[in-house]
Amino acid sequence: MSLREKHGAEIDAIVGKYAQKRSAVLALLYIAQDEYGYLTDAGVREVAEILEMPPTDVFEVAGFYSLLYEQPVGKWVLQVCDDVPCCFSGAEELITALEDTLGIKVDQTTADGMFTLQRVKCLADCNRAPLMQANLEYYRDLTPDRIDGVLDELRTRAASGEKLSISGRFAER
Amino acid sequence: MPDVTLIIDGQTVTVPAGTNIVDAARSTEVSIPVFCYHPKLRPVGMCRMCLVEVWTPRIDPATRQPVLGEDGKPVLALMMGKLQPGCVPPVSDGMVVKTVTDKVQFAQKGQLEFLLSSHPLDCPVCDKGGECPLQNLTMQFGPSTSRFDYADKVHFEKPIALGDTIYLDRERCILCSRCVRFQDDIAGDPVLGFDNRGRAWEIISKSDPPFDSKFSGNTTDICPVGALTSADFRFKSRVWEVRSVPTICTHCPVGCNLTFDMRHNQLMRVMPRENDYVNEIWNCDKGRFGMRFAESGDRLTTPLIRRNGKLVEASWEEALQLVGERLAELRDDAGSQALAGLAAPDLSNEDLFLFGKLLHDTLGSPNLDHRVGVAGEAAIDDLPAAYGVGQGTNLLELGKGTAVLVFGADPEEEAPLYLLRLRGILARGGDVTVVNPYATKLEHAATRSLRVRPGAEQALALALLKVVIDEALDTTFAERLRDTDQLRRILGEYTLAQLAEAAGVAEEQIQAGARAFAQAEHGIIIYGRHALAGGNDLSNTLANLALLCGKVGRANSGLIALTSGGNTRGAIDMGVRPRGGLSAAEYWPAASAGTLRGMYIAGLDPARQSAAAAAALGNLEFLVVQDIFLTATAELAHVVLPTATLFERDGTFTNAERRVQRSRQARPASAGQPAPWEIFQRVAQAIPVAVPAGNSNGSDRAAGWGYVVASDVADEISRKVAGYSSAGYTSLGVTRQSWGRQANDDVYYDGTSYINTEGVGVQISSRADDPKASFSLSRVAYPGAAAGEGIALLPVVRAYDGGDWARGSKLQPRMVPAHVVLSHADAARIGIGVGETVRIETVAGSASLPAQIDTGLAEGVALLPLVAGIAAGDLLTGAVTAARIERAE
Amino acid sequence: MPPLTEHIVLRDLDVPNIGDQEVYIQNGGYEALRIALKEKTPADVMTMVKDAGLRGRGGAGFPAGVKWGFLPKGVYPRYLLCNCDESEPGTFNNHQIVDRNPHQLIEGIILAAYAIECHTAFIYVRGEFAHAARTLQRAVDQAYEKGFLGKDILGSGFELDIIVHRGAGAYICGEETALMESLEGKIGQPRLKPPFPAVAGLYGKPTIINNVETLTNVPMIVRKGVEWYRTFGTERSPGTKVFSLSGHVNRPGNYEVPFGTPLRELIEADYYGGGMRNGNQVKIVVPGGASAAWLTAAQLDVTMDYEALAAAGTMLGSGGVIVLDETVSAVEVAYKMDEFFKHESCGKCTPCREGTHFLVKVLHRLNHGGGRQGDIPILHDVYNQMAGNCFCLLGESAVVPIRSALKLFPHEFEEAIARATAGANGANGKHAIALVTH
Repeated sequence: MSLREKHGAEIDAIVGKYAQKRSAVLALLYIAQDEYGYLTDAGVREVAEILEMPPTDVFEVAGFYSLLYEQPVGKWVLQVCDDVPCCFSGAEELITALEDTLGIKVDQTTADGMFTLQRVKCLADCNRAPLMQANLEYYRDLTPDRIDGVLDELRTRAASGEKLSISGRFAER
Repeated sequence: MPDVTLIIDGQTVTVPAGTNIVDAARSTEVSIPVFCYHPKLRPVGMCRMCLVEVWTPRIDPATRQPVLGEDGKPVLALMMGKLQPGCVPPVSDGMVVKTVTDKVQFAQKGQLEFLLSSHPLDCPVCDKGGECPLQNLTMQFGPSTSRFDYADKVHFEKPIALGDTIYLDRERCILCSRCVRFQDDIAGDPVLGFDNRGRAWEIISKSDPPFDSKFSGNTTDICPVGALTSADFRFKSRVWEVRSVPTICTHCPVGCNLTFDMRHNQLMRVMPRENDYVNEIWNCDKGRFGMRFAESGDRLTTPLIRRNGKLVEASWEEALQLVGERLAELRDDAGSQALAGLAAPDLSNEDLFLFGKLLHDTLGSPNLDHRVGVAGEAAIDDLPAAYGVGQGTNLLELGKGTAVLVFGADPEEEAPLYLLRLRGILARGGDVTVVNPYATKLEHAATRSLRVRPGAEQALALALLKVVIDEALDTTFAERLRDTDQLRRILGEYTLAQLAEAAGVAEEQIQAGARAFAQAEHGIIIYGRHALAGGNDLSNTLANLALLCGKVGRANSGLIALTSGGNTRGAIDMGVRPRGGLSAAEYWPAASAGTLRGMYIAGLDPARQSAAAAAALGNLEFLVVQDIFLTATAELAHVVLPTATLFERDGTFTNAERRVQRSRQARPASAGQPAPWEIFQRVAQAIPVAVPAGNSNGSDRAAGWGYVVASDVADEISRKVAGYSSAGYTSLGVTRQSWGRQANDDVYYDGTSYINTEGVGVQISSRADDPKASFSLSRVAYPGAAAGEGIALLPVVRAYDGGDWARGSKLQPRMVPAHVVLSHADAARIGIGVGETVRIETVAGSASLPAQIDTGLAEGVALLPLVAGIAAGDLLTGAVTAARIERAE
Repeated sequence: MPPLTEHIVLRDLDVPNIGDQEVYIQNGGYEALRIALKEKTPADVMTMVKDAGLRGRGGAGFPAGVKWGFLPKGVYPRYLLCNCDESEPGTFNNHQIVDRNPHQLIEGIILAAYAIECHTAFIYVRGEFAHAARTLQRAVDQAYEKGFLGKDILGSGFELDIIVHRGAGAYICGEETALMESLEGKIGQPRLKPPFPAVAGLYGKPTIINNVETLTNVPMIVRKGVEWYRTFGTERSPGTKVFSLSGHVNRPGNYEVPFGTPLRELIEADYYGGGMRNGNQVKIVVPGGASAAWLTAAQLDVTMDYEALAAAGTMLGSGGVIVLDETVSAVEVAYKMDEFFKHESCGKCTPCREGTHFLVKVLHRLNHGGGRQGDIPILHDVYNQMAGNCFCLLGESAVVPIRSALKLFPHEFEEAIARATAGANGANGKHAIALVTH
């Protein structure tokens, strides 16, 4: 099913908000990557067609913004801030611990397709360092001893059939 | 605009307001280095190469007057307290610009070191080497060493194909966005963009097919490094090894000025040559990449003579003697009326003039044409000779105050550079109204688009006229016009509502278009294949519109007809048109009936386009075909004569705006094939002196046939052909400096397009240019609605038509396959999907073709692209053909 | 200076659950809107904001009311953009406002829109703030329900729509023209100025763009008056500022303080930072986000206002105060900060794109035991080539950390090089090949 068939009402509502259709491009790319797991070539072209934009312009956008994924990612995208001041407040230890626990390096995805681990820049919650976002939900004061519990919780949520959104569209706890 | 005076490096400079600092400096002797800035593109201030010190008088906020220092001179302040990119801020009075201070030089060195920090420095194997702004500027302004380790450079897979014609070397790219801006703003094909960001930024093209633009080659010219190179020129030659020959493109009526870069008589590349009047510094890909046909191994090299039903090689003497004798025999036997000639509208004026002389004067035939005589072809249009855009027309200077009406034309396909030029007029504030029965690329940019119902074009043209007359929008020409009352009476018989209804266009749209055209200072009507195929009534109506609005007889106003050949205007002027005899369309029944018995065809291939024509040709007693390749028509000939191509001959061509331009010989023909005009002369000389009673023409063998070089023919043209007296080779060679070009600086400013040192040509006058001329308005009529049954099938021109010009071209994958385009509604009704085959039936014949679907097309309209594999003559009846289209069983 | 007993912006600290619309209304919420629509003309509101001396909290500190006055007369439509692309390292005050006190921001937007006669406003929320964007959207929806938004607001005839727009991860979109490009569905790269946004901004129309904290101040100014507002802060920096305190203090967090509060108090007072962790010493203080020049322990007596910080050679910036102790290496801090700028460099201009790459390359090796002789002059040259020559402030900001580090802690760079060259006897890396650019 195409994006329009599946999300027609949502797309129309978003596009309808703007004086120019192409303002909706980020929102539609968010929908596309949730739908297809990442921004497939075809998915980007679908968005271009819906918004009547040159495909190249949409690929530009998809390539520019860090929360748009043009490569496959896991069900949960784990993004650890490694910026100042987090990096001086335990971020590096957190990243190492996550790598060890998940058995992957940064920018890799676990074999079961559950987790992708990334380093990101300031997440604007610096007083709660170290911290990460899982599909853009915050996990604050995340000391390495809490990792197992958090990962278990995320796995449980994925197994529960909860609709997950790597774009952070409807995660709400 | 008022002038502004400023000081640049101590020199006082006066330039028009709005000029930027780089261009102002350029008008004196100061060179400010640039990469991203290009005078044809909007400034973006990205590369930071042009940073300079800009000092402006300090203004007292209270008095708004300049603050004066103790010396009584204005106190200057450094703009924004830092260096400014010279490409951005416009000049202002009292400004002082410094381009050679320590600070500026430090910045220039810095930018170059930064740019080179990721550059591979592979100049020895780079096509751009020798004409590379990065090389030049590094030599002039850069540091001598880099402190950046080679291992630190960014490495990419070496060149990737960006499309069929262009390669991208991401290591060399300095991310200046010139190519992106060219595609977005100039070409209007936004097919290039940037992926990622920061240091990972790279050019991408995600159109389908990639780099889907007819102007892609231009990006390689303006690329300031060797990032974009053409598939056609890659690794062919160093640029300093080539000999540059000025030529004229004959692929369409624009007449782009080209340079053929030759090495050892082989074409290395085709480049645009600057001519503000014609192509600025651009050309289209068909002109750039579609010139490899001349190197084809399939070219005819020797004459062929039919013996025992087969074409066999023969000597020139033998072939010419046979042609001369047989033509004379037929003339003597059956009379001159039994002979006919066709010559292609992309031959030179010299060729066409002598063809006319041979057929008409020597052989006495009135039967001449430059068309192939199939339905749906353009009518012969004389109007531009009378009302063509006036002398001195220069579209580059037009913008605000100019209105252009583009009627029944698809400039992108028929004459690609006009798309760029019209977009330029729009960008400069001009008004463009498009009238067409189907969507064209131009209309996306146009001020308004009037989607006329096919077959009702005349109704729409009359509606425009009616608005102008009823609202008395322009009277400047009133005294010079006759028959206004008659026209008023005719138009009085219809209401605007009736005409608008018939045309299928809203009245307000028609009024807006008519008012914009009438009220503009300059008005141009461009009409193309679709309009011309509708016959002369429509073009006469358009001429009436121009006359009534006073838009003729002066520079930048008048008509431009987009004819099918590169030199149709010349063919008409040289008399290759029916001279009281038959037209091409009348040849075929006449030949089938046996009244036409001999024919001379130069450069045209009617047999490919019509089975009826092929059959008629087969019925001729004697057929001479002169061509480059063994065409379908040539295969039917009794004698085939091989001829030189554009590369191998001198000659002049007349473009759509009646600009006569000269093309030079780039090399001798490899097998000694003569220029067409030379062959015509040799045929004339081979005609025996037989003197039939009452025929004075043939009495003196070869009299008046003593041309040695092309200019001998041109001299005679300037004496004998109206309007051409000013177009001798000497006047054609006069050049004109354009927009601040500075010798030796053009490469790093403007790209590799060649400066025009060989002349910009001469625009010959139209009859309306005579200020005393008065004009008759044509009697035009409203034909009533063309109520055809079924679907309206329209022939449409495709630039990439798979013609012989495309042989050996890198554009081969882009040739449009034979197909028919259906509207979404019709396809749904018929039950046809994309790529499925439909059966088309018309009164002229039938064909089975794969279908494409265009959601923008109106229901009941189908398009038939005129490409290889389509025999238009077997399917069409005119500009609009009623067709039955069904699913093929 | 004692801590505030009543907050202007972080009112969630005074009133629990003020993010709840009912609670907000019970505590004076939307009162300013009623006052403005009933009793004041748009010009009155603009004058109040001007007179209050409200300065833009996004970094530049430009007076908001003056900025509003730049709109060309009689040109409509106009747009109001609320910049909630908070991404400056060490800054999280906007985050708290939209999470906990969204209605005050919305009321501020409505008041500002009324003042500038605009009927469509956008809140551009950074993509990572998925939760905050939902909070804002919910608050906007509630405001529509109560008639604070939409057509004929509170029967005044004034009309306003607010659109919550999520970005997708790009620090540069906090730059006002890049934000507009992004809102228009393009890659977020800054535009040439002029034209300035007030003349030609979003969709080419006159546009005002203000920071979240700036707009959140407006309802209190309108409700409580200019005089009241000016009782906070200094003459030239009136009001309060929310500082985001992070790093090696005992009590990191957002603290709203009157302008003019000493930095030392912010770090050391029990009611603010509570002093350094483990009793360590202050080594580096970055007072206004990563783009602000560093201060050292010797400069803690500077007061936190635009003028005093400028006089100290730095800036108030985003209000992100990062305090680092002696356990950090200045080389590493500069490296991490410039890595941020390199990561966020949009690619548009040469000095930023190439310069940040260049800096990080050298800083990376210095920080990882691989420095070379000559690296220090290279760093100096590179940032000097960038300074003043970049297209926008991102590149200029990238200059700040390395310049601060080299100025304040040059010996740490020398030591890094000495360690590297001594340790590996010069075999630690290839020597730079001087490439002759023929």
